[in-house]
Amino acid sequence: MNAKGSIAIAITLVALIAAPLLYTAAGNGLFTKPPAPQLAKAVNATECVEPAGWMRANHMNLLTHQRDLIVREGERGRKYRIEGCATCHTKRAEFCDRCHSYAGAKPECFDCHYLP
Amino acid sequence: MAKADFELPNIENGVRVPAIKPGAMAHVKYHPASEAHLSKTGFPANRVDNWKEVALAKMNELMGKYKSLQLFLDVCVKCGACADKCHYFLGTGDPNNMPVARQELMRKVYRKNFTVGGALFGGLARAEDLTEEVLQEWMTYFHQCSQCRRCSVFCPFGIDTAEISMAAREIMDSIGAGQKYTLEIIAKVHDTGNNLGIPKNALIGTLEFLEEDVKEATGVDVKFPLDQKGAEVMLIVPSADFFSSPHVDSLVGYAKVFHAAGISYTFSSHASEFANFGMFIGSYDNTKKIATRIADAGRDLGVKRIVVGECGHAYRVAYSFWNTLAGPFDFLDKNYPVPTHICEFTEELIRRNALTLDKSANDEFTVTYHDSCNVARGSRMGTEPGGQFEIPRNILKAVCNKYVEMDPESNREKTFCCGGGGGLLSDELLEVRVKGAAPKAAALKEVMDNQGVNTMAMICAICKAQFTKVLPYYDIPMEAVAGVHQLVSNAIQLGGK
Amino acid sequence: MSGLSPLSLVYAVLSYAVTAVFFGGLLHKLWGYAVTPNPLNIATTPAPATRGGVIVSNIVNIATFSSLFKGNRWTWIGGYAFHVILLAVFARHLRLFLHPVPPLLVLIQPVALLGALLLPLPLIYLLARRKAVDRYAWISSPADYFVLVLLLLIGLSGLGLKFVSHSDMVGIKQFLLGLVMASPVDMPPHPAFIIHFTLVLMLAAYFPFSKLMHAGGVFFSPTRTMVDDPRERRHVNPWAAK
Repeated sequence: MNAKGSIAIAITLVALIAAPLLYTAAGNGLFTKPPAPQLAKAVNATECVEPAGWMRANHMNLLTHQRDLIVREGERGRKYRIEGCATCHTKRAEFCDRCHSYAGAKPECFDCHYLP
Repeated sequence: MAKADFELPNIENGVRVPAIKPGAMAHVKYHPASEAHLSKTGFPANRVDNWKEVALAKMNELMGKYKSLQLFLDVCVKCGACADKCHYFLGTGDPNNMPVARQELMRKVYRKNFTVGGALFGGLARAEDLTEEVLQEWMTYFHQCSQCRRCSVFCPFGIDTAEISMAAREIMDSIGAGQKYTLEIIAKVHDTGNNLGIPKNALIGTLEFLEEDVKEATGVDVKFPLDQKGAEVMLIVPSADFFSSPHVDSLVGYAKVFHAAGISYTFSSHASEFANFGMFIGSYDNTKKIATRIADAGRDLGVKRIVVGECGHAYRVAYSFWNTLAGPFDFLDKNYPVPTHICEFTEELIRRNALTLDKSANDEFTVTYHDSCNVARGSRMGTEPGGQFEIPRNILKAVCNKYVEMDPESNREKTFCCGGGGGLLSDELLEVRVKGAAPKAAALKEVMDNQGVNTMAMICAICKAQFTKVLPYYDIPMEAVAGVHQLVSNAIQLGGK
Repeated sequence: MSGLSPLSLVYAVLSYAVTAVFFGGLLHKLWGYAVTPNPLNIATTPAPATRGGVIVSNIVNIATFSSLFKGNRWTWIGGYAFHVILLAVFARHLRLFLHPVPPLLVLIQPVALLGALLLPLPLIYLLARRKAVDRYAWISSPADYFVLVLLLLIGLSGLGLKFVSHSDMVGIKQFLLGLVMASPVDMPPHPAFIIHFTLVLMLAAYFPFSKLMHAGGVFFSPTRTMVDDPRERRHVNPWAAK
């Protein structure tokens, strides 16, 4: 292999590894605050069932845990219910989806539940 | 059966991967080169005082000159795919004969002196300085590598231990710690044009004797011309072909082929050696000097083609390196590859039906073929990849009725080296050679026992010399060793077509 | 970087330092591999006689580890499984560095998650292999174990982050995007994430100076990348041209 070809391969390799970083920097700009999901304000209540910080990290645990108890074990009347969530966070597209699409994570809730 | 004063590997039912026996071969040392031979080959005559600094500087220089060395020192992940592939490991169990461990002997010095991690963490990174002890390990184990390239076939990254051992030998030579066998031979070829130091008169005598001999046997005037200007072909053969047995029988075979083909050829007294030991010691300058001598001879004789005889590492040098080292060969006829292997030459004649062959002349032989390592993994014959396997076999099948293949796991691309290549064909290394021959001996034994094979044909002077010496240790008679053109010689009918 | 918590400040500085070391080291090494000459044609034959053939054979070897397969099936199984899984795990993490997230990355999440779950298995296998066979034990150095253990810890801490101690993924992504966009924001002070992230930084800093460079080196190996055509085309040695 000649030196030119080898250098081209070396540059391509480094570029491939750096590509995601360059793409993000180019697409979102440098020295600007990183994008963050904008959430619709909750209605009907001023406080969530648990502190907001805890909810951000762990809400899925509540939802899946409750699902298992309610759907699989038939236990009703638990403290947290998805209908409860929807009482305050009324619009899925402006609440759930904002963070989920930001993080590229697909929620399972709506495989069964319909939330406008 | 030759008696060994060491334990022989068991070759019945193939050679199994041995348990490691640390230090099993540490006692084998090469004979050091004399001052005269070191000087003649361009190296310091004695161990230089600041040898460590000189060695490290040489290592640094070589890493800058050879991509192979720089890359191979870096990228080994020690997966162990090569660990059970070296014939010297299989035959000895010495873990330093695992290709990866052999490389580590240089890599640990590389880490210590050329990497951040090695400098910082030392022993934890298995980094070591180039001490006298490490140098002794180099001397021992880089002379238990025949540079056969088998390990490189199985390496995920194509790491070729031959490149490392060549560099190690170049470094050792550059501090005046060279090996007698290779340097003595290189000194001879620079002086006399051949490895054996045969003077021109002796060469003339030999060739005249051969002419008479062949005349007596066949009644035909087969010529063995020397220094014949204007011949069509210059034939370069390993000098062992002039004197050793069974080598000389192949030489007769070449001559008969040229005779039958009606193509004029000549040997050269200036370059009467095909082998190029410069590669064994990784010396670019010596390899180039030997190759250039051959090109000069061809130019002086005004030939149109260069055909080369049966020799393994030499063919690798000729095929892969000549064009770079001594080319361009623009004084030759462009219609023929440079060099042309004698097997390519003969096979082409057979395909054109230009030779009269009587296969029954070889009926006493049931023949198998040994792929010589450097032909198999460092060269090609013909135009298709793998031609180096097919072309010699085509010849054998054309000259013998009974041809048998050995286990392809021990042959072709995966062929086991004879155990004597790469500058190891020296008496003080006999134990290494005998043990290293075990895997090939096992493959041969298998077809001898099961398919009645009594002859192993090959196209390498070192293989021939090595096998005739070491096979008797395994109860295989040295008469089993034959050159491909020895069998051609038996079958070819002269005075016919 | 003003207004960052002390922890975030430390990690922002560390991240930039590691990135510089990683890319600087990588470039330095690859540059060396690229520009160091091949004085002679040392293709291991049989090899393709054309450039195209060489490219194909290298793609096959790099995509399937075919020469390792030839060498040792047991090592191939562990090594190949590990590398495929690693690729899946990389793909899974890309969503944290790209904004917006390409739909394809969302689609492959379940497969990639499976990869992350399996990651420890080949690593444990590869570790055990080094201990179990006398030849491999002999050639294995602390550095060889270190890399495997480091990767194993990275995998386990990642799984811990996913299944044991959840963290605020949005906060993490913001932190990572902030680093990429040269505008660092606070790092979620989540212990599991800090451990995972620290281990990854260690790996990245170690990469260019270790055997991990095989990942780049494999593209330059002369025995594999040289075309078997020395008789047809004169290979010129750059440093011996006189």
